[in-house]
Amino acid sequence: MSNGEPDDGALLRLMQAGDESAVSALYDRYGGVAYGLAFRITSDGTLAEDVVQEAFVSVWKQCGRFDASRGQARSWLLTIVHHRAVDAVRRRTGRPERGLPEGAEEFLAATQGRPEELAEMTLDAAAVRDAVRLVPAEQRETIVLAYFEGMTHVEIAERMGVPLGTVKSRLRIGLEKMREYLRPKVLE
Amino acid sequence: MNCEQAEELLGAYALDALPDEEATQMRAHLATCAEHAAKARELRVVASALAETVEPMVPPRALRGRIAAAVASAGEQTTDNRQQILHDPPVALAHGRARPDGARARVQWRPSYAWGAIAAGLLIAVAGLLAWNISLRSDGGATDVLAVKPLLQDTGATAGYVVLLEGDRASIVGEALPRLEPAKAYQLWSISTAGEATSLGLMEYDDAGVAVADVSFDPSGTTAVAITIERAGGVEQPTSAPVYSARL
Ligand SMILES: [Zn+2]
Repeated sequence: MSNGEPDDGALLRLMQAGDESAVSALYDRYGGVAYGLAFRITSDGTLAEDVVQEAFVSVWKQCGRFDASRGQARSWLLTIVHHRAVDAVRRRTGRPERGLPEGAEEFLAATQGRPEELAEMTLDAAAVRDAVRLVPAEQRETIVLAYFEGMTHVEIAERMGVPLGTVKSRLRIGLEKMREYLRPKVLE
Repeated sequence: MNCEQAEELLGAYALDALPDEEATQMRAHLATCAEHAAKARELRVVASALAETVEPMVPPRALRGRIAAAVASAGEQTTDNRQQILHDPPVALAHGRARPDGARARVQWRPSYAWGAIAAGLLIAVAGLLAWNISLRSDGGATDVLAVKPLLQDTGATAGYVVLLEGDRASIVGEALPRLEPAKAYQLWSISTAGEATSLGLMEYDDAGVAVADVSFDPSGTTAVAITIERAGGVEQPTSAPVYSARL
């Protein structure tokens, strides 16, 4: 980093060396976005706080298994926040928890791509928002129910009153449209 | 699950919107299909970018201190968490690359499953790319480690490791294996040079929820250890394609 602060990889390495203060440094960097995401999903400040706390503790406990050269710590943290928030809100609304994976290895295995395609993928907020706007409304709504409400495709089909096959194709085509929009920016 | 079905589910999978059973089937397909594994990874990155659309919020002041306290009380991380993963980046380059022709003929998986594809994938992700600093979970005795082999998906992604021990024993640690529903189990197989599968038993979950197994087997004449997803009690012969394997 140009301003001389340790980058995320350096913070991870400090954690791996047992430096607890590196967790606080990571929190200072991403606590706001983590809390914003948890709050967006749970709509509940107390639940969101619990989720964020659990997520940072989880990163601390698992940091030795996360290889920063293979994945982005920020994205991993937000994945944990997302999964925990989904479980918290499902628990609160009496739906069975999803128990979505949050392991370091699993995250790396599921998101790691060929370096030329993905490793440099910097998806800034403005580009992603534009990409979401570009997706037709019914696809966007379907994606939102999956991501921000933590619903399965079956639950979405019930909620929206459309066939399951329609939900599957809306999720896929919607994400593919986003990918097409984001791809040129990746390669620039 | 065939390619057509997998294609249809890519979006739901990337958004974690598949019910458990379907997600398991999807992962099994991705373990044997480089094309859909690559597409799935890409869409997953796109899906996770949705987090970027959320406005950051200022968390309550006390949260920072609570986290620091929770981290302090979580204490020194366990030895297991401390393992340093040292590996060569080239493992990532194996993704989706063309496989050497002829590799398919090398191994015959009895019910003609995609074993050839797995074996070919392993040829690319050459064993030895990973060096692990292992602290064994075993009884603490002075057991010599003969070798450590990565447990891989055919995409080259590491899912754990196989630790070969003195006395024809081995520990298998599936660190990235997702937990299965109770009716299903991970079954381990040793694969002979002739391509025959012999059951090494089922994997169990340790206290941390990691799928593990300690097995006895003769490594001579064995080319690989493979893992399939079977019904809870296990089966005589694999009924599905292997989802993970380690070349010995
Ligand atoms: Zn396929």
